[in-house]
Amino acid sequence: MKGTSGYLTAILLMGYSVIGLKAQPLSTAELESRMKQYLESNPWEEVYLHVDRDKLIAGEDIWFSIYTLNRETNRLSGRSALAYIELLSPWDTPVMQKRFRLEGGRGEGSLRLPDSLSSGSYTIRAYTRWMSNFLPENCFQQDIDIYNPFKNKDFKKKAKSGITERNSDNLTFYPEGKVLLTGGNNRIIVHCVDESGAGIRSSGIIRDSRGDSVTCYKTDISGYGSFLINPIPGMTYSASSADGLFRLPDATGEGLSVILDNSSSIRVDLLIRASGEEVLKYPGSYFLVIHTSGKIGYSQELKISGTETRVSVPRARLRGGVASAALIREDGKTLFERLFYSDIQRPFAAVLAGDTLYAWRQKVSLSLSSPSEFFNIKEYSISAVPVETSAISPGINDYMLFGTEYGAVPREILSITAESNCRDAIDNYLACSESRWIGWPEVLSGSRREVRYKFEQYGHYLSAGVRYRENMPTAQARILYMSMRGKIADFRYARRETDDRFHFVLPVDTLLRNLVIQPGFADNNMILGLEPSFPRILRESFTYGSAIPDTLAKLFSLLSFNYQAAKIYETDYRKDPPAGDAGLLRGRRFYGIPEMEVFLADYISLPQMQEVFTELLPGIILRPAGSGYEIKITNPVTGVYYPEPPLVMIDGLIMNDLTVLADLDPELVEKIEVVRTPYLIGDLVLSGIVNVITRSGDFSNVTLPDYVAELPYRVIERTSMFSAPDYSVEEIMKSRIPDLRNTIYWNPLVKPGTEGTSGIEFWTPDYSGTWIVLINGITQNGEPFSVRRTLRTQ
Amino acid sequence: MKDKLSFVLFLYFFLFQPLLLPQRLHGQDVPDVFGRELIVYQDSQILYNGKIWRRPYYNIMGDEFLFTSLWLRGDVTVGNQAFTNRMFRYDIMNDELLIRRPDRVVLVLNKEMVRGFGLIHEGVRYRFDNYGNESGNDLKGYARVLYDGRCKLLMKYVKEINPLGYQKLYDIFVQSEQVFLVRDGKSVRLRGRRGLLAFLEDQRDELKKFIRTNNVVILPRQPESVIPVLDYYNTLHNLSSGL
Repeated sequence: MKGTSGYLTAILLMGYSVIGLKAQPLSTAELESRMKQYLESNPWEEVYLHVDRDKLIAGEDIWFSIYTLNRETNRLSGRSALAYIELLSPWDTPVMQKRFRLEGGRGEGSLRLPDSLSSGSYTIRAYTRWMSNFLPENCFQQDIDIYNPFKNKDFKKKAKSGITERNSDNLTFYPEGKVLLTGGNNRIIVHCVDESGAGIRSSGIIRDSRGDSVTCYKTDISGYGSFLINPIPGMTYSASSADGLFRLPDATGEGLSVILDNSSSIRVDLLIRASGEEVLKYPGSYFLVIHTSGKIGYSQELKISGTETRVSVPRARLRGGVASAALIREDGKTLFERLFYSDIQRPFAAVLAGDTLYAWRQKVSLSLSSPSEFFNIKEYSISAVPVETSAISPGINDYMLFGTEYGAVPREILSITAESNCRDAIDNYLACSESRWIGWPEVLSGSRREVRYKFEQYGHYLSAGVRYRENMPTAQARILYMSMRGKIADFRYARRETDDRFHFVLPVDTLLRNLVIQPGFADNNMILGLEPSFPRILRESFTYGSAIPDTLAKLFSLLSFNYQAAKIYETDYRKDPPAGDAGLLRGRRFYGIPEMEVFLADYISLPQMQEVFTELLPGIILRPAGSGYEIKITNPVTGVYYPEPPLVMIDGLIMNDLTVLADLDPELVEKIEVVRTPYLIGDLVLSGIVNVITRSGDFSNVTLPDYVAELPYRVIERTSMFSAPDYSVEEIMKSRIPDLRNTIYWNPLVKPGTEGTSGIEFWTPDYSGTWIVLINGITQNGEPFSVRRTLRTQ
Repeated sequence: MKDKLSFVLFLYFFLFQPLLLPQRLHGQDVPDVFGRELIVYQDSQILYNGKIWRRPYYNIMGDEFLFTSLWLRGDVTVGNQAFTNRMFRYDIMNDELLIRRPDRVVLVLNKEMVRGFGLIHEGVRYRFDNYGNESGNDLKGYARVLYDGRCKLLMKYVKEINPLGYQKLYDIFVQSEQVFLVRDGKSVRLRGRRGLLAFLEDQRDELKKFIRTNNVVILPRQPESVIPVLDYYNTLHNLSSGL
């Protein structure tokens, strides 16, 4: 007994040592280390699309250049080899879904809009497979107005759901530091939106429960504003505006509140107010940590003993962008996190043009110039379009300020560029937002977000699952086979992963493959389901019809006229690449040179396939077994049958039911290829292969069971080229065919020449107007930049 | 005593090990977000694709392999994908490349898929390309690349069985080499100076002059002797095509 208690004491002591180890207090080094580990397991990718226009006519081409960026570094990301692009209708149904190649984070493409589209507000969205884990927010989205002159009954618009009429939700209050603390000043951010969810100007008075006026508030064009309030214990507060009375959150006497002053250009000031015993009597330390996209720029250990603690953080310590200040208790509890805007040193450049006013069919020469010697361009994309057709598109550096980290950024905030001195509006928006990527509770707990999709760095994933008919006990599918219909047999397989899914990795190319996928050992209770590579995870929205405003109607009328004229004169500004590799895959047989190759035309015709095997293929037997048939191959070395049946294919389709083979008319068969020795692919051993090839090679007269899926599949689209007329040729210059390009110039990838020149030349079209040149690009040190310039034709 | 200690350790880990887990999460346990495991597994289907090898020859002196019967380190290109640092044997009797899997199963690699391979023997890398099985060409299968240019110089290694060739008692493998020239998809066996000039007829006069001026002696048994001529031919071609 004595001995037992001694052992138990030893166990408990060791146990406490472990618990003691766990409760080890935090340090700034530990915080940095945990952040680093969190970022490794939870990378965040962003896609930006440089789209040529956001106002189009049904039937036109939409051109885009793709930038994939790593949010942590704000540099191009080479982690994904393809981008997913979707065009969603006003009802959020996909109209077009295509994949495009990415190389080193860059890609390009175009979509030809169907000419049957209804007029309305469409959405183009872009993401990588990794980003699909965090849909619907983690994707690039841009609204595009498409007009169909032959279907212009109604213009369908899209709005965020949940706000269909003015109600109490359209004025929201966010206390800075999350709680409204009595005994001192608190800042409250106010956000006012209209019925479509867009921010609007608003003002009102804050009154206490006695009806006395305490202060007032005012929101700017973004819908955001802020005010200070010193709440009295026991009192409640409301905002009265033209739309009614809106109650503020209740004040509390226990907790911690923070006011962040971001107005100084050299420092950021934080006032931390503490109240209540729990906070004031806490014996340990606190850590104030500020990071930008995971890079910790400032951390300080604090002791909070009094009711007010002031901290000044030099701005030079912080990286530009959206910074996050957090107060973390020594035991790992995060007390508050506050986002704020930290100024960015942006690469600056200007577009130099020979002139600002051009005649029709005149050459335009543009070049990029920067006063900074560090501004060396690596590559860029350029669009030149009528100014009204690209009004709201943000440049890449404006977009990357927020990315998708904080959810859908209101259009009013996106349109406020960092240059336009609107730090307050951005700060107010950020004070109400939180990061969907980095949160200190997750960083400190070492948790990982649930991910279903991995990066497609080395190939394209095609995933599938097998489900089973209800109340039908069946063996679980452990392996899936993929083959291709045709005379050249191809084969690969996927084993079931721990998540019960099967993944095939296809090469990133433009080949069209006729894929046939089925379980290795199937029965009729299995149903194969292919995972759509474009997940249907969408933001909630509602559609409503509205009349087209006059200004927009005039613009669409012009665009439509230009488009129709191009149609009449059969002018196509899109050049498709030669169909070189676009046809069906023409490869080699996956099993190489067969050991037996029997052409049926070389022999007398036999009435049944069973006889064909008996007479022409020695060592292979096809015979009835039970209610069906079985096939056996003899081992050429031992002369005895292999215990396992061989892999049997007809025109590349794997046959589980050999009755189909036995019933096949030998007159249809061109040849039979046989591999008699055991064949190994990866770790799968096949006891021989029999491939029956018909004359047509497509064996189309077989109805496939539910457990087989067949689909034509192209991993990525071929990219077309924008082709504008070149009037340097005199004959073209004198041409009487009108040149009414709606997109004046588009080039998805311009790389400066060896001498560092980055000039662009193109010709103006045959109509007058103001047009905008938008350039998005990457500097030699990887920073994204964006430049605009307006020019005119007359 | 030992049992009691084991009991204590068992209880210790049973009771308190879960408490250590969160600490371990902060360690090197980074998830495979790139799906590398899956890629390796899918790549193995491309590389390890072939018939399981069984040695067909017994009681014959020597072996059917090039250089040695030992496994040689090398690389192979299957389709568009290159795989490095694998173990190979090149069976020149059947013109097949054998690969050894990590589990020591030996495969005859699918010759239709292999584009080429390299073998490292005694510190030297020997490069072989696959010239397929098309009829109309003298050269078929794998051949060592001696010179790569517009006109390639290749060596084909062959082994045959000489019945009772060893002391009139045993069969023996006998190795021989053939030298080929390949240009524009056409191949011809190199038999001498006249054959070389006939094959490179588009620059015949220039090459003739070059051979005479530089006293080049073309010996099919010494294929290296052809390399200066092919080098010159390459230069002439580049000049004429403006490269």
